[in-house]
Amino acid sequence: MSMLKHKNRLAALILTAGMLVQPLSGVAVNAETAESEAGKTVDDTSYTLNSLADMKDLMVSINYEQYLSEHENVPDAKKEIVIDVADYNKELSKGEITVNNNDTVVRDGKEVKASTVTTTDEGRLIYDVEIPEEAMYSVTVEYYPVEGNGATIERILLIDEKIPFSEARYMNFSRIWKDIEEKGYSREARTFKVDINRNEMRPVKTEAPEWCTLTLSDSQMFYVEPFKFCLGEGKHTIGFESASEPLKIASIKLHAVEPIMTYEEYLEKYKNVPDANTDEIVMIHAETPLTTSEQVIYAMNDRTSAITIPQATDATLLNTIGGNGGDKWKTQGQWIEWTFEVPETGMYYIVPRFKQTINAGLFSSRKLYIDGEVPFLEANDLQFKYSSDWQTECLNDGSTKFKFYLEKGTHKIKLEVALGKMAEILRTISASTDRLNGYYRKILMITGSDPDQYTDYQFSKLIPDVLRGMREESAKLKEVSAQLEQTIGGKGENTVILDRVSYLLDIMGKDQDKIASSLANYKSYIGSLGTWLLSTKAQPLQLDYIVVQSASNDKMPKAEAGFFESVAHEVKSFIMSFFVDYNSMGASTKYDKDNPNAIEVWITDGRDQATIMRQMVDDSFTAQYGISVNLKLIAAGTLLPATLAGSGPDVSMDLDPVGYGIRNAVIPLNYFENTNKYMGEEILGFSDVKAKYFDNNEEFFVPLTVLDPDRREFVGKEYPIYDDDDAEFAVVNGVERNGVVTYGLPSRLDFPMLFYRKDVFTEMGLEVPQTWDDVETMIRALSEGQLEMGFAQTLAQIRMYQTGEEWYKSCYDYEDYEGEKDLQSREYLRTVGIQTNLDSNGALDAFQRMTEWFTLYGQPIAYDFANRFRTGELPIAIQSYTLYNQLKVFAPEISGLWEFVQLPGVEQEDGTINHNSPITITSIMMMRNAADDLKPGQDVTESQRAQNAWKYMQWWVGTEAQERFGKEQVAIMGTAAKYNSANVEALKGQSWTAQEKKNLNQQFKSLKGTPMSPGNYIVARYTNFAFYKVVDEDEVASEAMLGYVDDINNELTRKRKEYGFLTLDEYKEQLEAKGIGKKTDSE
Amino acid sequence: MSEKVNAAQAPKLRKDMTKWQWIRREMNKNKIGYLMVAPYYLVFLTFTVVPVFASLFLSLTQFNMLEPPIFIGVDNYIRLLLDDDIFLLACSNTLIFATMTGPVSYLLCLMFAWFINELTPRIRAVVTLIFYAPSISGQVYLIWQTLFSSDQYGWINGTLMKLGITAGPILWFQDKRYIMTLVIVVALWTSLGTSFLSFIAGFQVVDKSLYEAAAVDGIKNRWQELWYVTLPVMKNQMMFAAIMSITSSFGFGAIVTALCGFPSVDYAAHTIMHHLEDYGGQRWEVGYASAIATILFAIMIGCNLLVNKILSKVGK
Repeated sequence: MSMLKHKNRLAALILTAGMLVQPLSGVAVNAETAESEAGKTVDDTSYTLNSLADMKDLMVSINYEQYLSEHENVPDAKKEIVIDVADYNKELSKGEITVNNNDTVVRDGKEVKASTVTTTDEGRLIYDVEIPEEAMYSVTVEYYPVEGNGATIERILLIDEKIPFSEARYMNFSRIWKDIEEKGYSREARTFKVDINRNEMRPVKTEAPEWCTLTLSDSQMFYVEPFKFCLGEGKHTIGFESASEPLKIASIKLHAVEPIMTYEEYLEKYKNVPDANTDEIVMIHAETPLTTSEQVIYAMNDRTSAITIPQATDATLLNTIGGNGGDKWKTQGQWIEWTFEVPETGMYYIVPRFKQTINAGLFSSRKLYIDGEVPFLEANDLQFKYSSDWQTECLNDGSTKFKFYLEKGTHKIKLEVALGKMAEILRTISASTDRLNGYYRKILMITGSDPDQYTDYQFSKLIPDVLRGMREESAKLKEVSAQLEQTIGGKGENTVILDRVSYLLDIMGKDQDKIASSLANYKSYIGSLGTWLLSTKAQPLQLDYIVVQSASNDKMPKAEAGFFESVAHEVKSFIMSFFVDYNSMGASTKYDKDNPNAIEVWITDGRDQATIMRQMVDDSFTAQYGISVNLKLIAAGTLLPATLAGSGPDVSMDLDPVGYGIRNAVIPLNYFENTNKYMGEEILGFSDVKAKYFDNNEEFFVPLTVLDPDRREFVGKEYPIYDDDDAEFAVVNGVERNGVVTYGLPSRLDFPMLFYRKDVFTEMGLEVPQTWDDVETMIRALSEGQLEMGFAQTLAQIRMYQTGEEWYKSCYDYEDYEGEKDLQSREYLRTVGIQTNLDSNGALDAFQRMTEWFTLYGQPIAYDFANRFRTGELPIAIQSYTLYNQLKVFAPEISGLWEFVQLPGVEQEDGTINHNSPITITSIMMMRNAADDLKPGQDVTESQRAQNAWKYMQWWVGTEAQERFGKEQVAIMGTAAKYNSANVEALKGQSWTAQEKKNLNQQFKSLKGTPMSPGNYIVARYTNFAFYKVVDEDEVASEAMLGYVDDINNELTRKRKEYGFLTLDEYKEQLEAKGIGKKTDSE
Repeated sequence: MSEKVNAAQAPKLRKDMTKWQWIRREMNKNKIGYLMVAPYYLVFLTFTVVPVFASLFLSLTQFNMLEPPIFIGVDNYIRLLLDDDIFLLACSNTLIFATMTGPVSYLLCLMFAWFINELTPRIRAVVTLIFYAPSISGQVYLIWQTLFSSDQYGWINGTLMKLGITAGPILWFQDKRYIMTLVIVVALWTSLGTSFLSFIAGFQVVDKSLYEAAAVDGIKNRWQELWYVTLPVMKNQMMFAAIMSITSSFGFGAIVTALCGFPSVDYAAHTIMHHLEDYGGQRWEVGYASAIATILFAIMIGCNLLVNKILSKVGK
């Protein structure tokens, strides 16, 4: 009976979903044609359909293990097939494809002329192949990592235009990075760039692309062997779809991979070669590699050991590479390559000095290449054991110390992060976790997130496959646990978690009555399984140096300093800590306070960011303008007392400029309206900066601007800006200032977007909502499956902006207006902030509809976004787009399963949808200190310091600096440290995927700023109170809001009076005098 | 030179000198003592006394922290006392808190200390630690935030929903109806601090022979023993504990902010301290904030005097 009901429901759901898709796709198609007709750049509005369709493909596809077992009996290929890259299938291929028939390709060290084809970060490249007989083929690609935004190059492999198995979706082509050689830089001597305190500075990396060959294999390294694809006899297509970054390829080869010899065979091959006849010990300094796969892998400082080479207590030396911080050489596929010279031909030991303090009880794995080749099979899995100290050991696989045959001359050695023996175990658990997550959602859809243990849910009838699955997973996990025990030799914290999950699954699978009561446990176990998987997959390793010595020399270099050596080192470090100047860390010039050509800048960011900024200032700003900058990292909250005491900075970053501005602590940028020549240099004016870097987008400046022409005491007496008593049109240097005062330039930008889980949406047959009506339909469907949507509390504001309501009342609310409303006009601006607009019909409606999501639809008010999004019980949420970073780090297991898109919108009268999203701006401002060298009678622009500060500000918000800052931040902290620059170009210049960029771009078109008027804090506060009144006490929304409107307006008026702004009464008087007051206004 | 010698030879009496001369002489005599207290007094003057007077002065001005203050007389006080509803609300909240964390907690401390004092030393040490731990471990009250998390997976919410008592999650620290009660519970929990410890210490100093003497004098029960012997003996400790708990009960703000956010929903747990923080920190009206501080200062002094009076009645 209930089974039948369920089926009906399912059918209905599919039907509704189908109905939903149809009109939507229609709209999308129409929009597209309309736009391309208009000749604009086509912005793909059907993005959600695209990526959801992809998701569907992906979700039905099998994994490689299943794929292999399906094609178990197919033999390996006998013939090699080489594809001519220039001859691609023009019908099936899409996007921008560039063919060069006479390109230079480096093959086996020689330059050859060959045709190449380049694809961008979008589109498809498809080739026809004729297969002589059914066989398993591996694919080898000759590629050139074209410089892009520095992100990983990702392609999706398509065979017959389908993804053959899910792993084929993530084909990574690694890049090649090298340190930029500083003056006198060489790999032998200590010649990193140093600051004034002799601290070595992190080398800047640049791409050094070369022709590479890659045999497609699992990017997660779960499978040690390259992928084999089954191709039947006859015509096929094979190709790549771009996921991110451009790529150039010169050839694609289908062939069978030759097996690598084992170590035994290797020894057999070189049995006549004696151990090298030399006492020379070749030392490779790990911190100066030849190349690395990613820019985040760079030299690091180690202070833990006295004998790390080199070591100093008075300066920071970059003496190691790798380690656990960030994404530095611990993720599969990351590699480092060094070069060294061998004096004699013979057999050698390769001995690294390394440290592996993270994977307790386990080991870190590396794959070794010598001169680009894996010398023997066992070199696929070199093990680096755990210890709290530094170690020196021959390269080994846990049992055998390997000898290597090296000919006299220069060689390259490359160590790549691998998974080795853990690969199979982790692969099984990873697949298990995915399935367990799926089971969880299936159970959740029956029970809801809060199951009642006494209800009979009839799981065995509704979801017998889940019960069976749980029993199977239980057995599988038990098996894996035993396998793991064998690998690491004994039970430990690593096996315990597997045993526990296995036990729970067994109980739940066998006894359906236990499911409801164990569900909470189940969920937390999946979570810890995921965490375990993550931490075990990471293979951190820190290297000090690698020594190459004759195989006859069994003496290992010293691993750790002796007791007295260590004590001496620690004592010295302690004493030196009193003398080292941590403040000027990284500075290359001394700051002189009295020099008018030097400015002081305060930031409240992290130390990493400060270091980047320091370096940028030195080698870009100071180098270009000759202005020295004292960059100080301060605690938030220091600026206020410092400004009060008159010892504040000239420029301050990351704080609220209007608060300081209306108190005359900030110099308005309108002074710098004109482009002027100062000290022989062309400096952009404020308007030019606005146009050049912010696309003249006024919304960005709204939160940084005070709008009131009638404010008498504009700026303190020290800065004479108007001689006129009538301040309405004060003239500064010939620039009309109609009361608009901007106090800062935007540096960071934040706004909410819509995050959703693609897999859950596909599973449930849902579409991404475009309007709030869609959201309503979607929530109904979600709640069928006991799932919820997460809302942000700025919802009322979002809706107000989407329906065209303003945050504050405008002059139209007071005056009868005829003709076009000109929102930029002075009349409009002058009233902003006088009264809140929350009592307007539109606002009250918005507020009510916002509270309804929580009261009527019962969506959660407080929720842990990252956690619930990860489990999928909250598959859609409105959150700040910067949470992207958090999700990338916190929940890598769902990477690729979610995306952010523009907010749902409100349909306008003309049929378009308004997707407005309110922004939060962080800015950079010039403090009044900057003009302290001003003489009486001078204008601010005549102050040298102020001009320098202005130069600094525009340099900082400029595309070049912002883009570099974003890239450097990613370089130091990994791809999940994206910088939310307010400069659109700089934001786009970061390593987003094409789809992410597209989505961001869409939201960027509909952003809206909220004016910051005196007393604005009160609006948010009372809106919040009203909100809780509705959700806690069931008060009618409009009444709750109206109850606070008077309080809000009173506070606004009081604050306006305090700072000499126009108040409502004054404004009405003015209107009456002019005889244009609103007749209908009952007040 | 000769004058000095003469002065030293003829010892002067107090009545022969003017007041200032005498003071100078005494100071000269005790200069080592003055020298020794000087470091503390310099710090005390600069960082406690001067700010108090500065705040008194600022309370008569309008001061936004970035521009010079403007003298406006008693306007701030007029507005504060006659035209600030939230201040009145804050006063009433503060008084409720002060009563709960002041007298109530004080009596609780006394009772607990008395009971614990009866235990054997080893158990006493353990129990003392249990009671004292919440107040020494800094921000440990934040576990209440975990307990009463508004998320449906919060401990209390989860349990209540599991037991079928509530249908959905309750926004504990965002719901006007629960805020006050919860905060008072947390306050009581953390307030068993210094005063509790000083009581324990106080009980230790009571001379046992006094009890014997009292028994001979006709004490009938433990209550009388407590009232007529123990408490009078430990009056100093009681005074200390009282002042500590009053001061802390009025300064009780950080916990509310940490638990309920700032400001608490609908000012449900808004105290004078919060009001001060609101104007001083958020609205940058330091003049007005100083006026609030001055009034808070006055209330505290009043309370201390009151407590002094009450304590003098102990044992009588």
